[in-house]
Amino acid sequence: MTDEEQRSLFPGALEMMVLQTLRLGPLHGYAVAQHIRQTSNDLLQIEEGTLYPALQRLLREGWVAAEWGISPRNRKVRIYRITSAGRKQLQREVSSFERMLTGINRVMRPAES
Amino acid sequence: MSRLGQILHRRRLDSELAGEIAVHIEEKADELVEAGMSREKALLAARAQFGNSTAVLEQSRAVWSFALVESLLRDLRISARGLLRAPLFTAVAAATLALGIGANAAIFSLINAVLLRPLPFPQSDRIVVLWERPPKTMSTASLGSRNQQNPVSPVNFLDWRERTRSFGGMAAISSFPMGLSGFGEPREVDALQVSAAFFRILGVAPLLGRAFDTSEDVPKGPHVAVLSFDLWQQQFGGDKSVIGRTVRLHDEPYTILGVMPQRFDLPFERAEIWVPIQIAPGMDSDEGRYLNVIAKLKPGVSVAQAQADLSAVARQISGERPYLSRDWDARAVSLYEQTTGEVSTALLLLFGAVTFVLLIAAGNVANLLLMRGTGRQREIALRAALGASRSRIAIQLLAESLLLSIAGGILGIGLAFAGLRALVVSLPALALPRIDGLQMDLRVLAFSAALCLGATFLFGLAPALAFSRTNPDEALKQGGFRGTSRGHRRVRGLLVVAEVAVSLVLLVGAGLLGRSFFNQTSVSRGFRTDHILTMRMFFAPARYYDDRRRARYLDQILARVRALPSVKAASSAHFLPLVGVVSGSGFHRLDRPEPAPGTGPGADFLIVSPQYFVTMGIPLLGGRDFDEHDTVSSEPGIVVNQTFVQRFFRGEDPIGKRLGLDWNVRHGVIIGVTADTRQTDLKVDPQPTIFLNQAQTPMYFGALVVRSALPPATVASAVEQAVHAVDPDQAISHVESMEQVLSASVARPRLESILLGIFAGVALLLAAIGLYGVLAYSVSQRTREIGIRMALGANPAQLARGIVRDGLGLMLAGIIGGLAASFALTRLLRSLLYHISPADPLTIAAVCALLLVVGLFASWLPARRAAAVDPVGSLRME
Repeated sequence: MTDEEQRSLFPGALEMMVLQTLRLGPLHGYAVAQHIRQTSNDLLQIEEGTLYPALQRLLREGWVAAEWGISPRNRKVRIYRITSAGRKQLQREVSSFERMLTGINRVMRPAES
Repeated sequence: MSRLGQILHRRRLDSELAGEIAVHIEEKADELVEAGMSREKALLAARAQFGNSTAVLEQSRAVWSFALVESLLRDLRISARGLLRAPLFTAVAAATLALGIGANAAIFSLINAVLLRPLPFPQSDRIVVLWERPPKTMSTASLGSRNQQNPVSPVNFLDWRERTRSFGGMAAISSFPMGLSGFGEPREVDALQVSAAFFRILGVAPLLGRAFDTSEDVPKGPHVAVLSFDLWQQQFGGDKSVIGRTVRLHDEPYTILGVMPQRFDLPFERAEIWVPIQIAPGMDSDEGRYLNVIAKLKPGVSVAQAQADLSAVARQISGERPYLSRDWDARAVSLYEQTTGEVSTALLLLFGAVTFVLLIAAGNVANLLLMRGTGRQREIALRAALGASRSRIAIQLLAESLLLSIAGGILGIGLAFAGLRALVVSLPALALPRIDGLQMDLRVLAFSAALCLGATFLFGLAPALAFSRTNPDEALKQGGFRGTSRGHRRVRGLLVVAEVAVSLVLLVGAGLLGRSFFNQTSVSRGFRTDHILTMRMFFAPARYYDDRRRARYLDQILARVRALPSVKAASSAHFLPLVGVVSGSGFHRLDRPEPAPGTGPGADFLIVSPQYFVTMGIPLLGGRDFDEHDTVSSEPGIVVNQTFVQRFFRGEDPIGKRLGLDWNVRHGVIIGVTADTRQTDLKVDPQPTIFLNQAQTPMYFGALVVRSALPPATVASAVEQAVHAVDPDQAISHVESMEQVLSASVARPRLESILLGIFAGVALLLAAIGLYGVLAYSVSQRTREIGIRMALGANPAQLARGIVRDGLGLMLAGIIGGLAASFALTRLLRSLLYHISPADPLTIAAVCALLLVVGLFASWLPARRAAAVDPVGSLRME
């Protein structure tokens, strides 16, 4: 899956999932990727590398913060944590995402029935 | 973290991210190994799962960067590489711009130092200089040249100060070189006698001690002095205990009260020491006019209001003291205008000239870029075909121009800096006011930077727009045939026409100034300047208070000087010729009814010693020179010049006629007539002049003039020794040859004509290069066409003539445009021109001829190449 294809799904989806993941607690990059993969039951096979530009964007917007720490496997890593601005942003995104899903459903259902 | 911080920490961010990615892949591999995979396979799988880590890094980096700045930097890098690949083009373009930008930076630095820099006094816009203005009947042209600004008499100053309401303070200033002794070599210092208000008006506090106050500025007040910073450093070694000590000025003790800060000075009158002027109402007033006056406007009062106030008071005085001030008016001039008025015209003119030079330079570079762009049209078309947008291409072309500008700007500033240093060294002191403040300050650098940017758009925009419009289809289809579009050729032609026009204006201006300078220096001066040594002296009033004693003192000095072996003649004058000042006063014929007070005629007055005319080589036309029989006790003798005779004794023999004088000798008899001389300034025609004898009306100051067989510099020390043999404490200043005095008097017009000449020469050169470039390029583009025509039997000479015709056509169009512009513009020169009309036909014809010759040459070179085209070779070339 290339970057372009993924973006064409819908922009901001990855960021939304990262924020949602971090809401559970501070994690390092690999743990975030693992969590997304596992909770989606491997339905979302994201190319793990794309996680990092997304994290940079979140850092730039101030929605997550990072500090150095130690991973469960004892490696020096950056631990990401959601900020309060990030929580608000997540709420906004989730609600707009839900509105979008509702809209899509209304369009799709008549065709199905 | 701020974005700027992020950019600065880019490297760290990169390495951190790279580390983070590595950890990610390792942890993934760890997990896979735990699931039973081999380490090697696990790493490969982890990497595959991760994706392209370089791309990830780049995308992460992009999140933080300014896309615009990054792409501009990239454009600049690409442009720099492109420019380095074409070193000749780059060198020519950068050098051309360096000339244009350098000339502008240099002249702007001058303007900044002289005109823009605020005067170094708080609220300096409220400081004015006050003058008396003589009635028309009395003024001679010697005054006329100085804007009708006459120094002020003490009684009038006191009345102005008393009666005007516009000023918050008014101070009289009298320049008075004084012998400073008691500290090593006696030396003459530039002293100013000033009112106590002087320091308050200028608003500058002393660095040490205090300035004198009103209680000390009264007749017979204490002898106190304030030192300049420089004098304090030089003569007293910067010793702080100098306050309260005593120095001897003109043989009298003065107590030092304070030291002024560095560079505290009136812009038009240098001083090393200030002493109170101590004039007051009721004193036995000297009614001569010798004071400079400054004043500070009350807040909210304009110069015009102050002028009206002052004139009203002058009218009262005219009625009250007709014998002194009938019909005399007064003038108020802002200190800024007083300081810069005379030079601002010339500086602004030069600024206009260098702007023209920059325009021509920009035109040339635009032409170069157009030619280079035509050669690169396929490259540009290729990029357009590969998807580069029009604005991307235009921006990249502009980036190239910007680099050229910056290179030219840096070179140019260096050029300006070197040029200005040379200029300052070659200028006599005070030839340009405030030149000491000349420096490359931030304002000059900002101006130069703005100039670079402006120039970039000036010469870069047209080519950038022209080529970004390139239609890739067409350009690529042309294949091997490198075509030049007709539109570009027309633009190039127009640029050359404009360059020629502009350089014609500059050349005419330079020609006019040059001829004016020549007229000025070749005018008949009426006296000789070779082999004459001059030096100036003040006679200490304490020692030489008595008239007879003062007269005898100078006689003794002259006797010793004349006795020196190499000296042929020696004399003195109270003002040397060409130093810009002379005394003037009224007189009347005693054989005619006396005119009403103040309505009589005026003349220049010059006080000289016997043999002045012989020493200066001024022919005596009748009667006799002063001699030793003319003394304080005999009837004062008067020598007049030819103009005086023509104006006041037309058809009569003036010898033996008696004159009443407004001078401290009240009358005298005409004993001789001399030829005319130019006294104050070479531009001022000879004025009616009355010469009086130093022995009969001894002045407190004078200049020795010594004619010798040897060069003046070689006799200077012998003459100084002769002076010191009479009085070892006599201070001497301005030891100069008469040639130096002459040269200093025309320093400014010489500077103006040299600078304008240089700029016009640069303009001509650039325009010639421009014309040559356009023609040479067109020949090189048309080699194939020329080859074909030759193969078909065209005559090489005919082809060459065609090229020359093209060139001269452009030249003529430029000349016609330039003539129209120069008729409009050279009128601005009028105030700087001497004895030449701004529309002088000879100058204009000579400039046109010069341009045609240069144009012919610039066209002939490419024409010759066209004629030498080898038809076979040219057809094989593509």
